[in-house]
Parts: sequence; structure tokens; C-alpha cells
Amino acid sequence: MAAPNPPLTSRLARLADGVPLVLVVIAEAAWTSVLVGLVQEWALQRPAFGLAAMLVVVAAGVVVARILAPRLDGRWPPVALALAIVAGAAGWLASADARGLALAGDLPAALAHNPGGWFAAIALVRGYAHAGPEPDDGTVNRLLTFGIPGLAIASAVGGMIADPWRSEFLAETLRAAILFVSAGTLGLAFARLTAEGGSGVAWRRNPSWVALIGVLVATAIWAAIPGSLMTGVILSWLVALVLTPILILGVVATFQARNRRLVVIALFASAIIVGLGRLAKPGAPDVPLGAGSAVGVPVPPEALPPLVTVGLGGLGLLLLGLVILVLARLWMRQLVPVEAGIDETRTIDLGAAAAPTASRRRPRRGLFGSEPRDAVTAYLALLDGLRSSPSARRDAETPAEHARRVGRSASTKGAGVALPLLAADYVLARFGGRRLTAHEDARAIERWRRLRRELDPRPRQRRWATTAREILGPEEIENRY
Amino acid sequence: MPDPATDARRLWSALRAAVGQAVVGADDALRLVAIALLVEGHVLVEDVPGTGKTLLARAVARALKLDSARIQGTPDLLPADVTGSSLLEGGALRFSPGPVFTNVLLFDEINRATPRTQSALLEAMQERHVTVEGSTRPLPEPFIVLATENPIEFEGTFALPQAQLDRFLVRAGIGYPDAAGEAAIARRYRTAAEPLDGIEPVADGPAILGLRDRVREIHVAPEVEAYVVGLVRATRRHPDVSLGASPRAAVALYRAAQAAAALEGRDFVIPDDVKALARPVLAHRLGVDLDRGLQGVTADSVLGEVLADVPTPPVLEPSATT
Amino acid sequence: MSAQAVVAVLLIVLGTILNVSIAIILGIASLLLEVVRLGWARRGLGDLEYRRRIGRERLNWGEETTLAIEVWNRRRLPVAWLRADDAAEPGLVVRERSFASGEMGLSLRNVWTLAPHERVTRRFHVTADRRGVFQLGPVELSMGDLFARRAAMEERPVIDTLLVRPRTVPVTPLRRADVWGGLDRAAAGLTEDPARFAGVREYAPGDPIRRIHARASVRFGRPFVKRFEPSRDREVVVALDVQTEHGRSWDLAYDDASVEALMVMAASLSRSLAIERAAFGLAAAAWSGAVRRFAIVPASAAPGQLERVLDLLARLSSSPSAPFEALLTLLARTLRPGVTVLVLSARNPGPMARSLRGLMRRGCRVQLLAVGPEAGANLAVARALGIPGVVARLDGPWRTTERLELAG
Repeated sequence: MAAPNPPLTSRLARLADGVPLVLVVIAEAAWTSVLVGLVQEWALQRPAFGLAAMLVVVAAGVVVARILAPRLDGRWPPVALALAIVAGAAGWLASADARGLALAGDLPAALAHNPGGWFAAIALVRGYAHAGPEPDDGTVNRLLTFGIPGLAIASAVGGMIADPWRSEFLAETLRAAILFVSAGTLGLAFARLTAEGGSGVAWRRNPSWVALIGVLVATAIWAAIPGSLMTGVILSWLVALVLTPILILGVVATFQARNRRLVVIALFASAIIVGLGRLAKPGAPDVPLGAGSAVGVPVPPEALPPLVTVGLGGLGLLLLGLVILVLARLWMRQLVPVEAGIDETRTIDLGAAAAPTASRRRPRRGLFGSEPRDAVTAYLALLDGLRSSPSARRDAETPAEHARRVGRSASTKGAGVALPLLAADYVLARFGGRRLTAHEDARAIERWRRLRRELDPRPRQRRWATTAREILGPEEIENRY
Repeated sequence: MPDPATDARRLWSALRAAVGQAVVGADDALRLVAIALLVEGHVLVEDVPGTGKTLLARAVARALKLDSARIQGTPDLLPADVTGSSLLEGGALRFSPGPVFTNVLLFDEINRATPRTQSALLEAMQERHVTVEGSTRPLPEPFIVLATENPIEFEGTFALPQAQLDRFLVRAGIGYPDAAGEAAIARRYRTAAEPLDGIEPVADGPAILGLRDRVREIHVAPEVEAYVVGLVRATRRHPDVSLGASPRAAVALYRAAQAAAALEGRDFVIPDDVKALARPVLAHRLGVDLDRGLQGVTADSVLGEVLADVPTPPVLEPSATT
Repeated sequence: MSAQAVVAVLLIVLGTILNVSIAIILGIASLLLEVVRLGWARRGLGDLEYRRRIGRERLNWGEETTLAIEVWNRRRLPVAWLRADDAAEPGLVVRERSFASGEMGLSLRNVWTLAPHERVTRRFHVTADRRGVFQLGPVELSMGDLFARRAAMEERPVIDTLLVRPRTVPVTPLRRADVWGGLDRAAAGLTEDPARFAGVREYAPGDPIRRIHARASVRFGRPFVKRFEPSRDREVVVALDVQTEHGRSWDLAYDDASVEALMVMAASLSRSLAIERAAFGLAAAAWSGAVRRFAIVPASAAPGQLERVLDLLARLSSSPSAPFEALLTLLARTLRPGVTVLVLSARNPGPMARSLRGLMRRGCRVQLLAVGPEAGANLAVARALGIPGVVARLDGPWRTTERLELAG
């Protein structure tokens, strides 16, 4: 039976439960901020507010919908529309220029200022879409499905405008795109997990998974940025490599296999040589990548050649890979708390036949300290000293059974045949009524000394066992191991 | 004089080799038969048809130069069909001994015979004589009954009463051989039409009788005695048991353990001997509560719990090293 | 190639051609995530072990047994979610959880999120709300990929069967003539019971030699043989009439409460007979999972007889498979003279009177146990027809009854 669930209804746990929603809100705010920026850029104006403000608006949409929609029921749609219009107007009036012109009575001019601000209405409406207790996986899936190509299209459209608006827009869009992909992917994963398993399969019960997908998403983005500089080269390689081998392979089809292998090897070598040669030529990135560093993206500055960019990116990838391994290792051995109401036990089983050894307490001192005087007392002393260890003899075990069990255990194989022989001496003396010679007694005592070394466990404090002890309690650990 | 353990060990080795020429994969059952021979006990064999029960009985008889006979249990079997009866011949009565007057009696499907016929056998098993029409006639020595029960058939069968079950020293089963054994069995009939023909006697009745008396001398330490008694008493205290093992069971286990030690070549009994024989000796003597039986409790499961609960010697005291 | 991957490649290609870096970045990131996801999902459920263990396969009604469901992620990577839907039949009850309803019916649903190499065991307690044979399984396993999208699904033919025997309650003793030492003698018998010596008679050609009574022959100077009582087996057969409805749909419709009450009574009677160490059996005109129309456990006093009878009662259908009269006719042909037949029925015995008299003519002792709201009237009809009987009544609904009373 598993130990009772440790209390997971703390404030921290409740806050943690809100993380998926926060991620989805970030994703919504990211793409709507791009929309605002695009409109402003085409109006040749700077946005009056950025991602942070959109976060607030989307969050407000969530809160308002959660509070008002159930209460208003049939009246909610018109109220929702009205609130959206209000949000749009507030977004428009966030621009000081627009406010000034409006207050001055020049409404047409005011409307021409900060047109993107009206798209705050869309942000609020997007907040309505996530009013449920948990983010809906279908909604978030559609968000990502349309959002990614939408952002790409927005950046393509925005790239047509002249600088300085273009550069600023693209820099902001890059940041927003990274946030959108990261937050959206993670939020979708959490939403799907909740949709499949309900509250009983909360993401926080599998920290290794959370860590892994987080690192994977980060790694993908890390790889994408330097990779974007190489796509032109790679595409040209692909084109060259696809056409040429088709021609050559058609010719070598009549050759022997050995010759074909040689041709293929030669082609590979040529491709590598050509590729390295092209890498030596710097390309001209269209994105002022230095602006991306504000969000912590290790983007190389424009002056760096692509080779260094790739090198830094590769180093980043290597470091991320190490982080994945370390995290996975760290998290792997942690026992997750059991689900409330269900008798559940979780262990980390690497596939070994024997149960993992828990930390063993050192046997009581003093018992091994008093020297036995013959085979019988030597055997009894050994049993007494092993009382608290896994090698302890069970009450219903005969000496032979005990010796066999201890001998089978992987952790005590070093005991060899000493225990069966000591047990046999005991049996002969005690049950057989034999009087052993002094030599036989001495030999038995020597076996006792050896066995107390071999079977005297050193405490091995493994992290996961300690964690198990914290979660399940010492009694449960003793029962299991 | 050689010690009984050495002789018993030699006998066991020879018997196993001899019987093994005809019977494959029945070492455990043969060991129990040998134990029963050495302690004047009888064997209840519970097994499905075709596993070699008859062959085992006949092989043992041949290897020990003993007479053997077989009775098929049927509902119309009379007690006189077992013990024998007087025949009228030329105006005088002549006693015609029944098949029970043999050394090794195989009683097939004893649960098909009526309770009255079973009782006639009971007297023979216990008293080693039969009383027919007022005359008591002793049975030959050694005398052992191997009674078989078919666990599959239940229609037309009678459950052996507890009193009779208690008379059997051990309950054995042969079981199906493994694949290699089954192939060996089939091959055996290729070399000889009758596998028993190849068995040479390794001992005889007087040798068994002499060894039997000496097996009583096998040493049993007080702790092992206490262990035997502890096991038997624990069966009576078990909550799932309506009828525990009797004092006769304790004697049976005690003596069987002596015989088992002798067959191993030891002149003293160890707790392992007792543990190994606990199920064959005690399981058939236990009566499981009816309702607990419906819940899946069996005599074997009860004994498993008893064996796991009763401490075996040495029983450690807090200051065991003084 | 998935749609997401296609979109990602398009973004990369178009972004490259149009020199839109953000599109390329989005495309590469999406493509990498998609590749990882597909590569992970390709492994399917192969490294996921599932095991179900049921504590006991046979239960008495009202008992619980343990059910352990164990899953093991043998991979080095975590599993976002693994869902196991164990198909369950109506009537099964899991104490800790309700069944989920789906397209394929009821299922016991468990979902886990698994760390690398994690083994999880969940323990439940399962019982049934009625007698019968219940199947648990097969199990449908489905799994999410790294990003929790459904990646694989498969059905594993892991099936457990739970047999739930009917309730048994104490029974007031039934005075039966089959009890050993009784004074009743069978009207006729085809065989002689060798256990009941009844005297000697003169030897007639054809008598078996072993029957010769030696002392009597010597005394009289001519051969005399032993004479035995006609065989009167001390056996009891409970003949269960499952039919509770009349009219055209007599074999399709049934009154569930009445049928279950009959089963409880039959089981309780059998248990009572087992306690008395009588040789007893069961016969019913109901389906039991075999092709035969009649379900019969021949009378026996062998160990395990009560278990066999209760197992059969657990399997019996609630509707009859054939007219009960046909079963009685069969029993009249096959039972040995002297067998006691306890007929458990909730119907008017009129239509079955002929068959019952046939049994009595065969030398069987018949006793009707009238059941149901019209038991009294049915008993009166039976007695008028010369068929002895009593009223059998549970002291409450079958789920809560404490005793089976036989009166009259």
C-alpha cells in the first residue's frame, strides 16, 4: 500500500496549474502584437504598445469571459462585442497623438493615427476563447496551425516596407515568433495532456517530460536561427546533388557493385568539399539579428561570418544536449507522488532482476564485537548481527534456505560458500549432536569474520531512495525493500 | 556395523537407478515411496491417468524383490474381494487370500470403491492383518499400499473419509514429465516391450525390514522435535482449517523426517527434512473450512502459510551470542 | 509526411526563395519538432509493457478481489501520457473508480504520465453486483507522443474472466429419507447394494461364485448365496426450474429478481447438502455456455462438488433453454432408483406433474420446493396431485436475505 499523498493543494501547486493557460495567453499575445505591428508598419507609424500590453488584454479577455459569460448566459454575446469594441477603442487611444487629435475634435485625423491599436479588440476576443477551466487542445492546435504560417506571411508582407520601420518590425516579429512557437507548443502539449488524462495526469507529475519538451523546443529554435542562414546553400546543394546523381547512377547501373560504391563515395566527398567551400563565402542576412539578443536568443551580430554563427550555434546545441542529458538523469530517479484516492506505487525499473537496494543501516555495534567461541556461537552471532539487514534470516527459514537466498542475491555474492559452510557446521553441531574439532571451530570463526565483512552493508544513500523515503515514509520503504 | 544412514543412502541410490530404467521423472514420488517403506507407511497417489502410477508400483516391487498386486476400485467391489474369503471345496472350506496378501498393493481409484470396502482396506493398512470370518491372518512384511485417486473424475466417486486419509503416511503425485522425459518414455518402448524386464533387484524384503528398525535410531534434536510439533499444532490453530493435523500426523512427520535424513546419508534430522516433508505428510490430513474453500483456500495454501509463520530452529533469542 | 512537416518545408523553401528569415526560422523550428515527434512516435507502444493481474478468478457474491494494473515504460524517454481502456462488462464494479462509456462499451480507464523507465502499479478492488461470468479485457492502449498528441493505439488481447457465484445463506434442515439409517425402502431397484446385507437364499445357476455364503452353505449342505437390499443411492439432485414467465416468450423473458432468488436458493441448498456430506448434484434447463440444452452436474460426494455446482449456477442463463418437463423426463431416464430429487420451482406444478410422477415411478423420491408469491397455492396443487413438497422462502430480497426457510 502506498503512503498517503503529500499535500499538493498548496498555493504553489495551484499556481503551477495555471502555467498552461499562461503559455497560451503568451502565444495569443505574441501573434496579435505582430498583427498590430504590421498594421502600424504599413501606416508608417510605430506601435503605441507592445507585447506586454497585449498580454494584459488577452488575460483580461480570459478573466472577463470566465466571470461574465456564465452569469450573462444569452446576453453574453452582445456584451462581449461591446467589450471588444471598448478594447479596440482603448487600444487606439493608447496613442498620445490619436488622443490629442480626438480631443481636438479632428476625428478623421485621429482615426488615421494608431490604426493598429484597434486590433486590441482581437486580443480581447482571443482571450474569450480560453475561458474554460483548462486550455482546450483543439483551440490551441488551431492557433498553432494557422499562427505559424500567419506569422511567416506577416513577416513577408512586413519585409516589403522600407527601413527604419521594416527593421524594427522584423526584430519585434522575430521575438514574437519565438515566443509564439515556444509558448504555443508547450501550451498545446499541456492542453493535450489534460484533455487525455484529466486532472489525474497533471503535467507537473512528470517533470522529466516537461523538462524534455522545454529543452527540445528551445533546441529547435536555437538550431533554427543559425540554420536559417544556411538554407540557401543547402537548397542549392540539394538541387545539384539530386540531379547529378540521378544521371550518374543511371550510367553506373551497368557497373559492378564495387564500382558503384566507389562512385557514391566520390560523390559524397565532392559534396563535402563543395559545401565547405561555399561556407567560406559570407551571406547577407535580411534580419537585423542583433535585435534578437534582447530576448536572450544567442544571435550572432551581423559582422560575424556564418561559419562562426554555425559554430556558436553548434556550441549552444552541444550545451543544450548536455542539459537534456543531465536533466533527464536528475529527474529520472525521482519518484512522483501517487494520485490521490488510488493505491498506486511508482518505481524506476531499469530492467534489473533484483529490486534496487535501498540504503541499509549499519548493523548494531557490539554484537559483531564479541568473539564467538565455536561454530555454533559463530553462526548465531552472525544471525544476530544481520538482524537489521536485508540478509537477515527470516524466522521460518532454515539455515540452508537462508544461505541459498543470501548466495543468490547479487549484492552479497562476495560471501561465496562461507555462509553455507558455516551453516552446515552449525547444523552438524546443533542438530547432529556432533562435537566439532578445535580446527573446525576455528575455521567456522574465521568464516564468521569474513562474512561479517561481506555482509556488513555500508549505507548507500542514493538520491532517489532518499526522495522515496521523504515521500513514502521509512516504514513503507522498509516494507518494500 | 554400518550406520543406517549409509545403508539407506546406498539403497536409495540403487533403487533410484533401478526404477529409473522403467519410470521416468518420478524421483519425488519414488522417494516418498521409499520413505513409506522405511517407516511402515502407505502412500496416497493423487494424479491424472497415464502418468505411470501402476508402473511405479510394479517397478518398486521388482527392484526390491517383493510381490505386488493390483486392485481396481469399482462401486461393486466387495470387502471380500480385497481381503479374501472362504471357498467351499469338496465339502470343506478353504481360505482364498485376497490381493491384499502381498507386499506392494496398488489400489487404483480407491475413491470409486464403496466406503465399506475402503474400511476393509483400512484395517489391513493399520493393523497389518485381516480378519476374515473370525480368523485373523497376518499380512506379509513389508507391506505397503499405494492407493491412487483420480482428481478429475467425480461422478460415481466417494470421498475418502478423514479417518482413512489419516492412515496414509504421505500424499504423492507424479505429474507429467518434461519434454525430454516424455521422449525418453517413448524411446523406452522401442528397446523393450516391457520396460520392467530390465530391472534387477537391488534389495529384498528382509533387508528393508532390517533397515526399517535401524532408521528409528536416526537422531532428532530437541529443537527439531519442537519444530515438528509446532507445525502440527499450527495447523490446528489456523483460522481456515476445520480439522487440523492429528497427533498421528506428528508421529508420521517425525518418522518420515528420520527416513528422509537416512536416505540422504545423514544420521540426524535437520529442519529442512521436516519442511520438505510437511506438505506430503500433512496436506491430505487437513480439512479446510467449507466457506474458505469456496474462496480458493486449499490445504496447500494453508500449509504454505503455516510453513512461513512457524519459526524454524535456530530460534534466535535477544542474547543469542552468550 | 505529416501536414505540419509539409507546411514547414514549404515555409523553408518559400522563405529561402523570398529571403524571409522569420519564415525560414519558423519552418526549421517546426520541421525539427515534427521530425523529433515522428521519430519518437514511430516506436509505437513496443517498449511499453502492460500487465493486469486479478487476485482470484472465482468469487462468491459479495466478495471482492484485487485487481492490479501495471504499466512499465522501458524507454529512456518519458511518455507524455499512456491510456489503458480495459473493456468491462456491465455488472462488474470497481470500488475506486467508475467505468468510462465509449463506442465499444464500458471500460476501466487509466491514464498515466510516465517518466523514463518508470513502472507504475495501480491496485483496485473489483467485485460484481450479481452472479455471472464477467470478462475484463481486452485492453486498448493509446499513447501520446512527446508533445502529447495521440501517436499510437493498439489493442492487446489481455483478458481476465471473473466468475461470481451466487449467494448462499443458511437453510433450515430438510428432512430427507436419503439420510443414512432411514427406514424408507426403495420400491424397486435394478441393482443390489453390496453394503446392505439382507440374508441368504439358495444358489441358482448364474449366481456369482463370490456371493456364496460359506457358513450357510456348510450348515445346510448345499450352496447358499448372500442376498442384498436393492440399491438405494443416497444421492440428492436439485432440479432447478429457471422459468419465471409464462406465455409465448416463456423462454426469452424472465423476472430477474425471481431468477436470482432461485439461484440463491439452489446454491444455499447445495451448500447445506455439502455440509451434511451428502452426495448431491444439480440439474437445470438453462444455458451454461455449452451447446447442451441442459446443465447438469451429476451427484457426487467427491471433494470440490460444491464448487462445481456453484460454478454452474454462476454460469446459468436467466432464461430457460428448454421446457423444464423435458429435463425431468431426462432425469427419469438417467437417475438411479432411490435418488432424492428436490424440485425448485416458482411455477404451478400442474404441467410438470406427469414428469414428476414418472420420476417417482422410477423409484426416485421427489420433493417439490415451491417458491415465489404463489408458493402456497402451488404447494396445494402439488399435494393434490400426490407430490410431496414444502414452501421455500427467503426472508428478504436475494441481495439482503439472511436465511432460506423451508416450511409446510
